[in-house]
Amino acid sequence: MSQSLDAYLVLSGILFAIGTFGFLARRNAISMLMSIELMLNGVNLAIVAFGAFLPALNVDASVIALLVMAVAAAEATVGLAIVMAIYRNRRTPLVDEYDAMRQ
Amino acid sequence: MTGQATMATMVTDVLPEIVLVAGGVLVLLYALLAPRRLQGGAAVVAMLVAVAALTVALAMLPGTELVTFFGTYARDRTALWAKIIVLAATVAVIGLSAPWFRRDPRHGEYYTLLLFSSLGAILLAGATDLKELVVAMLLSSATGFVLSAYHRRSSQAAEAAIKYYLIGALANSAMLFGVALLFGLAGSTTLGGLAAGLPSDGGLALVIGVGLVVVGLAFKIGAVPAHAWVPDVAQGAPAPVAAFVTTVPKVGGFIFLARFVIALPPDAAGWQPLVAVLAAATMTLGNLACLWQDDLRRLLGWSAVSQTGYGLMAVVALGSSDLAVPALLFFLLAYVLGNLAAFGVVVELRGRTALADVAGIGERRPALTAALAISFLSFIGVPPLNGFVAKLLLFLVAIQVGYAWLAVAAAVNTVVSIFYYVRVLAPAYFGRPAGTVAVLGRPAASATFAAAAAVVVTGVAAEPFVAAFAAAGLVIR
Repeated sequence: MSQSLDAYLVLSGILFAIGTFGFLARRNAISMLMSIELMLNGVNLAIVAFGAFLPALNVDASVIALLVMAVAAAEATVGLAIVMAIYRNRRTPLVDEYDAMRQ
Repeated sequence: MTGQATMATMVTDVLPEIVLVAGGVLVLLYALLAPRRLQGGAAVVAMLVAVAALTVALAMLPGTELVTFFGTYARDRTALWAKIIVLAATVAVIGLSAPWFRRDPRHGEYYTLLLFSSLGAILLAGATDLKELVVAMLLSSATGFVLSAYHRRSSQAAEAAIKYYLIGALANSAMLFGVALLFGLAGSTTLGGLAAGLPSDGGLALVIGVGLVVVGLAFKIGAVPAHAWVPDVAQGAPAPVAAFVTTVPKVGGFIFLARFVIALPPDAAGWQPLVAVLAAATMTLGNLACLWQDDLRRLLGWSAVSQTGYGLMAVVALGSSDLAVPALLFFLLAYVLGNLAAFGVVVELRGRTALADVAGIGERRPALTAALAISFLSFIGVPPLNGFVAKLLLFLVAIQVGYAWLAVAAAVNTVVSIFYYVRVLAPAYFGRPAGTVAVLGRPAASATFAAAAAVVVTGVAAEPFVAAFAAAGLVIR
């Protein structure tokens, strides 16, 4: 284990940035959902690193990390259900083709 | 023993929330067990639950203001008024939904989602802890996504839901990263802990943390930069759901934003200019998009965006003006009632939404057209409707705290907005009716007329409301 909190925070920032890039660059709804998961993993790495390096934050950090996992799971469930619903209607997972309402 | 006693008193601080949770489960059980022809009864049960929670919240108003549950949940009059607005809006939306979903074979669960979604908004309004923000945002958003997609065979509803979801998931993840940064900087997640622990020279990390949390809340209230879902949901989601998600979550989002900014160290992160710029951008963008809009629901969505911009003026003034909290609460009251009346008219017209469909309805449906006119005139800010009092207070607080340019921008936007509201109302009154105007039914009409009447009453008799809101504190520790 590296002895530097900064290294973990930089890694978490990089994970978050990769996720954000993937979300903005991909057109496939499933890839966008996976990018969101990557962003949330970045968030959790930062929180767990704070907990591991700052003893006063240890308990709080574990609780928040669990909450973030719950958020990730709940959001992914609802997201996949909505992607299924629109795939049945439109027969495509590409989000830039969901433009029936744009004016 | 004392620990038990305090737990018991704490539980009484969250009675409306407990009523909603228990009631939501009750509605779900009813929907599971009731045969198909009795599914409509779920609306009645949900209505009773919402009214019960509303009564409890009203009864709690005279109590003392404090932060309960070890500094994580506020029981102040601002939160209570927010609960009252949210629950009254929920009652109206249940009225709008009952006839709309009557033909849906399995719509019992819909009301559970509705109750849980308003619970999410209520938790946001009371939260004084970032952990609670995370959970409340999830509850309010996840139910909102599902409600928007409730007509799952409708291609438009599915499109509205996926846009709502994708923008929401991105904004939510951004907010979580902001929460992580603020947690690391302050060493605490309670707002009191942030106020005490955040360094005033936190540098880039503080600015990014605050900015990302504001982005998450901007999604909830439909403000720039996370506003793009509002017109799509207004147009594509089932009309009663559109009435719900453009009003109720916004109340919670605004109140949490208010608590969050007063917890920040003064001058840190430059939140005041940030919110002011977001306010100006939100009202201007919403207005410009409305100008040539030919779809009534989409127009209502964009007008909801511009109204959010006006409301943010009160947030700019928080901490510097005593009138900021009453201005914010009165704005929320006026906005929610006006928007419910306008969407209620759309629901009552069976969701017909092209401007051509509205032409001449003044002749066939005078009362309904009057409700639409009242809500639009209130959005513009015509006295004596409540929108006038809201705008007056908002302009006043913006000027008080030295943001005169923001008040000028809002005034220019208000003048511009007259154009597109009249562009709907003029053909409604002077156009030629295309044929008979079919309407939905009594519960929807009652809810619409009640909302429109409330717009007038809270405008004419605004003083007691402003006085009551002025007595509301915004506690964070």
